[in-house]
Amino acid sequence: MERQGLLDAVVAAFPEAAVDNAPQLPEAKIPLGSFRALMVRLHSDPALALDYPMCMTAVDWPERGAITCVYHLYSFAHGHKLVVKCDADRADARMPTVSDLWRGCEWFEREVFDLFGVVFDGHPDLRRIMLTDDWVGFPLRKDYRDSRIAGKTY
Amino acid sequence: MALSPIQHAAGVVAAAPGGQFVLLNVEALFNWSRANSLFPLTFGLSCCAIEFMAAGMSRHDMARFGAEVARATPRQADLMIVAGTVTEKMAPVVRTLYDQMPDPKYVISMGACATAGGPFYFDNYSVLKGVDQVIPVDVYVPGCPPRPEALIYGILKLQQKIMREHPILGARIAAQAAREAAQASMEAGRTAKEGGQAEAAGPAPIHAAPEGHA
Repeated sequence: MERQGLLDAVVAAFPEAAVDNAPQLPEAKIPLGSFRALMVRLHSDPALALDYPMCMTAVDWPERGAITCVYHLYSFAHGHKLVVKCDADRADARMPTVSDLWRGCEWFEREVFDLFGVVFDGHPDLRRIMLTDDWVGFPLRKDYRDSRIAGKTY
Repeated sequence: MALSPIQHAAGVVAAAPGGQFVLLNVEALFNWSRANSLFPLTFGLSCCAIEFMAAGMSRHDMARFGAEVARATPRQADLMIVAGTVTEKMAPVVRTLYDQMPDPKYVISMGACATAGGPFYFDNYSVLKGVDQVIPVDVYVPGCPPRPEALIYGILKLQQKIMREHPILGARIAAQAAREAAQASMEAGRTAKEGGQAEAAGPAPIHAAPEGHA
């Protein structure tokens, strides 16, 4: 599907989504309430068939009080790509899991939990994946400080 | 202090006429053979490992200096070239590998990361600020990554360091230095107390430190 057609299909099903045909990849921002329904649709609709999670990450926005989870999805059947963004509340960061749709997201979500402290409801095995098990805090949050960090911070 | 068999034998030889001279020559032979057949541990933690590999290849040919046989197990290696970034999670592994190497063993810290954390020094939660926080380092090779020439220069420096070691007479030399220091401090104490009451007890006996590798 063409980039604009992909975004139009998203808006047709979810009018609350804010879409942007951005220079690199087309992206759709979706409120937390519709997030899970959108992801189910993207995964199961044969016309979209976004069956492969290329990448998942998050962005910390302390001044907005939000953590944006970013999903890069790819369709092997159609060869198109779509970025889905969804804001979680920074103070109580909770997201519905999509690891039942894409098994690959199981480890991605553990990584985001490990570094940003986002809790994915329904995840089968949510524990730290890269840091040590006894680690305190979430290092990629912008207000993270510990004794290992030397000198100036940027 | 219990002496090792080789230390005991060294004591017997040293007591014989000309024994010290013989031992010094035996030491030189030890050092020469150790310095010129270093067995590095295959040890790449990041991009420095590529330069380490390049140093072993035909163009730079680390074999010219007898250090080309990289072993895959610490039990057969006597040189650890820490080539790359040591993370907090890797640090205990590095320490374990170092402990598994047989004595005498040496460490070259290759590159900025292994030496001081390198570009990961500031604002970083996961990288150790220098491998010398977990193991003793003999030679630091600066660079990011160092060229093979720099690594080979570091190996030559390590060879010079090994040539100055006293693997047999080291404990005797240390003991003698300690005896002389004790004597000197006793003399100094006697001079200071001149005219005062005689002190029966001398200074506390100084025990020679057991020889570690230099």
